[in-house]
This record gives sequence, C-alpha cells and structure tokens, in this order.
Amino acid sequence: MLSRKFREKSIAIASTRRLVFKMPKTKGKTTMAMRKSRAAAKPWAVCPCSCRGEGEVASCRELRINRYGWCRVCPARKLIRKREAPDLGFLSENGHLREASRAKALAMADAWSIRRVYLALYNCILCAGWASVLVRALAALNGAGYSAVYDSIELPLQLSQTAAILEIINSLAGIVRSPVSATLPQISSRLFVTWGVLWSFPETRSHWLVTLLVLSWSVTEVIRYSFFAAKEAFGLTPGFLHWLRYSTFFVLYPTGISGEVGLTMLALSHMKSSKKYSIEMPNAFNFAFSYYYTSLLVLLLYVPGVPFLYTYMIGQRKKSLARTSKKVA
Amino acid sequence: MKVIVVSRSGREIVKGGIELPNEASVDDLKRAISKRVPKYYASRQRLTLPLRTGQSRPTVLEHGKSLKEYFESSDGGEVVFKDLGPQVSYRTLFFFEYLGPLVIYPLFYFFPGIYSLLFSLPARTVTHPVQKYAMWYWTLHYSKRILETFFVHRFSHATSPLGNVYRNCAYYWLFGAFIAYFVNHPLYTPVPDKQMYLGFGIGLVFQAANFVTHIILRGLRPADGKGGYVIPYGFVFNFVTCGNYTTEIYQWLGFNIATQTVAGYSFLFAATFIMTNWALAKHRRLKKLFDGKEGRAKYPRRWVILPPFL
Repeated sequence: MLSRKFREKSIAIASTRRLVFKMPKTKGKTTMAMRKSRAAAKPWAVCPCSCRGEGEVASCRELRINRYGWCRVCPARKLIRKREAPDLGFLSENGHLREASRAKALAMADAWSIRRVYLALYNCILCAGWASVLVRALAALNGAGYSAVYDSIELPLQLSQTAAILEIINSLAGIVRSPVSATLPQISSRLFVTWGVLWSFPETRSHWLVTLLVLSWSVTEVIRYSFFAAKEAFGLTPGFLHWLRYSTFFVLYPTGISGEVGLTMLALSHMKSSKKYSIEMPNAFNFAFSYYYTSLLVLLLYVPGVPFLYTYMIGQRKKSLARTSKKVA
Repeated sequence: MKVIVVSRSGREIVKGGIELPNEASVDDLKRAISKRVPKYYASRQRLTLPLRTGQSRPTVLEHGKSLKEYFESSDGGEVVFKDLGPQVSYRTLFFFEYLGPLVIYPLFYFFPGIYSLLFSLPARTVTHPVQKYAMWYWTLHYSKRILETFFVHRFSHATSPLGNVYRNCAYYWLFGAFIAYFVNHPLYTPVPDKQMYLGFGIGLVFQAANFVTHIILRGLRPADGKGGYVIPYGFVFNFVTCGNYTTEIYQWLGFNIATQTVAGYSFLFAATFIMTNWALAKHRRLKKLFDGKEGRAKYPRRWVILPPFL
C-alpha cells in the first residue's frame, strides 16, 4: 500500500537520481563526454533507483533499459513512460511494482531504530564471541597442540553457536532480509555438529579435524559478524571487509564442511555402538528412532545442500560486489 | 482492439501486440498468445492488468470473462504476463500422489522380509488382526481417493504447476512409507480390541461421510467449469464451512486410535495443519464474497473446520 509518507519519501529519493535515456546507435566509441552531452540535451525521465552512485550518466545498455523504460538493475523496477518523460513523470500510474517495499527498505536502513540497535548489538556480541574462540584456538595450537583445541574453546563455541538461533528468528520475523531457506540449513548443520557430535561424543574431540573446523568457522564468523555490525551501526562497511565477507567463503566453506562431514563420520561408529538418543521398539506408541540412521540421512542431505549454499553465496557475491556504493542498499 | 503483452520486467512477450475483435474474451487472448509463442500454452499464462497506485495485488484476467470488462477503452490496452511454468492437470497430480501410498503400504505388509533385509530386525512371527485391518482400511481409503479423482471431483483450476507434483508426491509417499513401516513392524504392539473396533468404526463412519461431502461439493458447480462460488448447504455443510476436511481429519483420527503410532499421529497433525490453513482461507473468501450487500446472500454463521474448536 502506498501511503502518502512513502510516496513523498520516494519522490525525495527519486529527485536525486540521474538521468537515463536511450542511446541512438552511432559508429565509433561513445565517450563519456558524448554521453554527458546527450544527457543534457535530451532527458527522457529520471530513474529513481539507487543502483548506481549519484551523478553518473549510464548508457541504456548498462542499465538494460528497453523502450518501455524499465530500469532492470534496481529492485524498484520503475516504469518510465516515454510519453511522460518531459514532465519527469517517474512516478507514473502504472508499474510501481515494488516501490513501497523499496522505499520502506531504504527508510528502514537510514533511520535509527530499535531494530538497528538490536542488530548492531547482536552482531557485536557474536563477533566478540567468535573472536574469543579464534584466539583461544590459536593459543591452544601454539601450546599443547591440536588435541587440546576443543577443550580451550568449548564454552564460547557452544554459546556463540547456540546464539545463532536468533538468526533464524530474525529471518522469520522479517527483521533481516536473508531468506530462511539459506539460514536454516546452515545454522541447523552447525548446531548438529556442535551439540550432536562434538558435545555428545567426546571421542571425536581430539582429532585434527576439530582444529580445521573451529578455525574455518571462527574466521568466517568474525568477518561476517563484524561486517553486519558495521553495516547496522554505521550504515556502511569498509571495502576490504566487504571483499573479505564475500570472498573468503570460497576457501572456508569447503574446509568447514570437510570438518563437519569428517567429524560426523568419525562419530558414526560410536553412535551405533552406544545407541545414544535412540528409541527402540517394542513400545506402547510403536515408535523407533535411530540416531545413527538419522545422522546418515543428515550426511546425505549435505549432497544437495552444499552446492545450494555455495551457489547461493556466489550469487550473493555477484549481487553485492556489483553495487559500487558504500551506502546500505 | 490491440492488446500489448509485456512481462513483469517490461519486456514485450509478443512483438507488436495482438489484434483482437472488440468482443474477444480472455480465452481468445490466451489462445492468440499461445499461437504466437507456442511454448506458452493457455494454462501456463497468468495475465493481469498493470498494478495501479494503491493496489497491493494486480487484477487477474479471469477465465470466461470478456476483455471489455478489463479495459476502459475499446482500443485495448496492456496486460502483464507471467509464465506459471510447466503445468500438469489436477487429475494427473492427484493420481500419482495417491498411487504411491496405495502401492507402498501393502509392500510392508505382504513382504516382511524388508525388515530383516534392510533394517536387520527379527523376522515377523505373528501378524496381528489390527495390522490386517489397517492394511485393508488404508487400501480402501486411497482407492476411494483415486476413484473420486476420476469420477467425483470437479476442479476449479484445470492445472497445477509441475513443481507441485514433486512436492505433493514426496509428502504422501514419504508419510505413507513412514506409517507403513511402523504399523507393519515385527515388534508392533497392538492396542486392546475394544479400542481397535472403536477406532476403525469411527474411521469408516467418517470415510462414508467424507464421500457424501464430496458428492455435495460436486453438485455445487456445473460440469463445464463456468460456475463461481456458491454457499454450500446440506449434511455437515449446514454448520461447518469445510465439512469435507472435517470428515477427513476425523477419519484419520479413527485410524490412529486403532493403530496407535507416533508416525500416524504426526501425519494426522500435519494434515490437520495444512487443511486448517485451506479452510481458513476458504471461509474468509466465502464470507467476503457473500457479505449480504447488493442482493447477495449473507454467509451464515458456521464453524470453519473443526467444531467445537474452530
């Protein structure tokens, strides 16, 4: 629903945008100067999206605009009617497909609110938790060796990982924009390994895979939480942090997942022999549960799950690094 | 009139638009589009008018209506096109999702070797009567469903997206195997006889009631699919909006009272949850449609799905 407040806000935002227009075909290279002069000469309409920085003139090919005037890069997808261009009719009657939600998102991000404070605090605290895990793990490695890593980080790891349940709640409640379909498998597999494998089966704790796992997780999470903390607290993130967040996963996802899968496989024989968390028949409610078989099923789920999450991250990376602006978009 | 067909991102689906007579209907438009772009057969197209300010959802061009009702001028206008993806008829969808449980359940009953082969469990020494009756009951239920799909149900939409085939089949087939595994288990503990008879009795009564509700629903709409929404009357519909779901839920309750498995009860809860969502939507829709104004009937006060709770 387009309330008056959002309409006015959208107009305010849109009026700061730069011109887009359709380029006639010319021979030879189109220089920036040529574009600028054309823009000055023949404006068609204002593209009200903030997908590029302000003050830049873009060619229609960059924005993939067609003759109906859709700017296809920005999620706002405003329809700019050719006919209305001289009036700068960027708020045409038709085609405001996502204006309300776009304006809402922008408004949400700009203003200080309980949501921003909560998210800034949440991300800071978790960043500190994971940093503590990382530091202690490195200290243990330096000192007693890889078999002592788990004992040094058990408590902060369990606290930080369990607190990540709030991410699912944030996603469900709509406080953050990440979809539940991406956060849920990630968090649940982490919790499964932390509690269901490492805590439940102490035999696995002294393996070197624990070190691999803990280092991968803690580095990823420190980068990720500090990225989000900066985004919520300051409204922008330093470029290197942005790059780290969307590039380190190339290495850290495989190493982390190898750690998870490896440790689960190590614990399998112990699950079978100890019959922990399992219910056997016969019983009054005719129910049986085998933790061993369930863990096998979880391992099977990694087969489609890992490519899904990996390609999701690659997609996020493309989307995010394409945005040149430092602003919260 | 000339109709321009664009996608939601603004790209023209049919170059140059489509010329139609002024009296053309929505179906004529869909046919014309599929002639120009053969990939998009009519059931795959979703046509709406462009979104206006203040609207949260666009106006859909409905089957059977004339294009004049949607465009202000007889010169035509613009429609927004959405590809719904490959479609499958509802009959096909229902047939495959019900075929799974019909086939899978008896496998566990007639081939107890599965338990020793796949799960290294002891061989079945005794088959309890309740297990036999449960198998007959289950077979009866799903055969009834398949027969209703072909001879009783009248569908409001002709097709369903292909993705629903995978999703629905997974739901029915996996739950079917889950329940079948536990009821036919070699270490199954039967309930007392009285409870078994009570459970199956309730189940059979409500299965029959469910069949009656489907016959009533069939009578609400004419065969050619042109009917709109009608207030249902008769039998349980006099006091429950979705009596068909009610009878279905109570019928499964009967089965679970007789067989008593966690698997069966979890299926009951899942089915109840799903059907309750549908029932709430239907009840809301009917109340909104039959608001008592402008000569329309007023929707009577009724339970939604589960008297006396909802």
